[in-house]
Amino acid sequence: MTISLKPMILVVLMLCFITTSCSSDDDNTDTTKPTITINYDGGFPQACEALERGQTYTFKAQVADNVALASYSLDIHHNFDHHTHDDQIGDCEFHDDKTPINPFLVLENYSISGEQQSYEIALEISIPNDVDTGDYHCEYSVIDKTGWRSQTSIDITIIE
Amino acid sequence: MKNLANLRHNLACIMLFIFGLTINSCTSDDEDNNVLSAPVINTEDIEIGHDNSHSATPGTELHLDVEIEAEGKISTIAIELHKEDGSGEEYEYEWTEFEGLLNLDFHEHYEIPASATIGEYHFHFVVTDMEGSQTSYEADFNLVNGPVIVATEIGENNSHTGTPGEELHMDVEIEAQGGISTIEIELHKEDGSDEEYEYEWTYSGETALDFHEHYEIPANASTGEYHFHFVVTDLLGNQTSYDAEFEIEN
Repeated sequence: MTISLKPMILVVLMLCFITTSCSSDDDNTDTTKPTITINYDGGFPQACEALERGQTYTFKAQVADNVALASYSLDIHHNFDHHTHDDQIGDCEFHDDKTPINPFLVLENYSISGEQQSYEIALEISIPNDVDTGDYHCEYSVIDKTGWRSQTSIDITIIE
Repeated sequence: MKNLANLRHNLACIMLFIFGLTINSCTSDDEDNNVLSAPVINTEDIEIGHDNSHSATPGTELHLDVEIEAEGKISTIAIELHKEDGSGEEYEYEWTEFEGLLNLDFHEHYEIPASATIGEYHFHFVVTDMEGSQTSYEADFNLVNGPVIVATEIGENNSHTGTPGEELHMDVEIEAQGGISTIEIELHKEDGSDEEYEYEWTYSGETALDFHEHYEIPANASTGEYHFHFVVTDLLGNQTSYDAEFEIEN
């Protein structure tokens, strides 16, 4: 065989360089947490908002991520003993501490399909007539495909 | 000769190829994978019990708020409360729903069994990541009773009566292991009208108090039968009330 193997070997060599380059490094470079906000037109509920029993509301929040969103949750639980503070601007006027009898409770989780970088959460929530009125926490959370989580907690009130 | 020259050439290329492979191997990656840090618990902003009081009352919820970061991704989060007197009394709970997360502002409520005995406990908070690494936070913890009220005198000589425009005299002994936050009285009329009077005193965590105060019944209060409520709230959110019949008379 008179054709030199040199060009072929050089090609193989170059391929080697390419395939052995450290591509796995890139997998873990997402160090950015997703974002979540209710501070836009339509964001619901806003801090200190009073919600009426027997009504249905659409809870809305905007979530976004630099790579891709994976899932979100909504958690509403009573804050009758005022255990922690929300992270929204402004202080709400709390009711007196009280003992829960039939507190309203919401715990919902949903996944976000595809590779979406932004998404608007919109959940219809009905407040039964027989739940305790008083102060509540409304907490949204969002998780991105990498596993970073962000949340926002809003003080709300349920009234008659 | 030409064949021999080609062979030499090829050999040189193969050696270069092997050399290329060697310098290109991703050794740094392997090191990184082996040194994922154990989970990190932010101990500065931690909340164990209401306002980080490190205490709670049996039958009520223990509030937990803990910021966690886990390079190796969270697998489980567990708490354990065990009594320090060696009685073996202990309570445990494990959360598995946070698996796969790199970070978490853990905000959960654990209901302490009503049957738990009061006293000194040890509290453990353990985060395990998916690599098997664990980080724990430990603290002293107390299970305490809610406020206890003994009303010795409501109205002059414990008569349960008062007069518009005059002072209502009260003498109440209070014990509150969780520390007194507020004391509130309420007088509301029993005839279905909305007539009611309230007053609140604020305290700063006293665990025992001989409450001796006077409340001036408004001069325009109408006479008749009322309900009297005396409510003590401790710093943990526990409430105890003393309720009695009361009469406003001229």
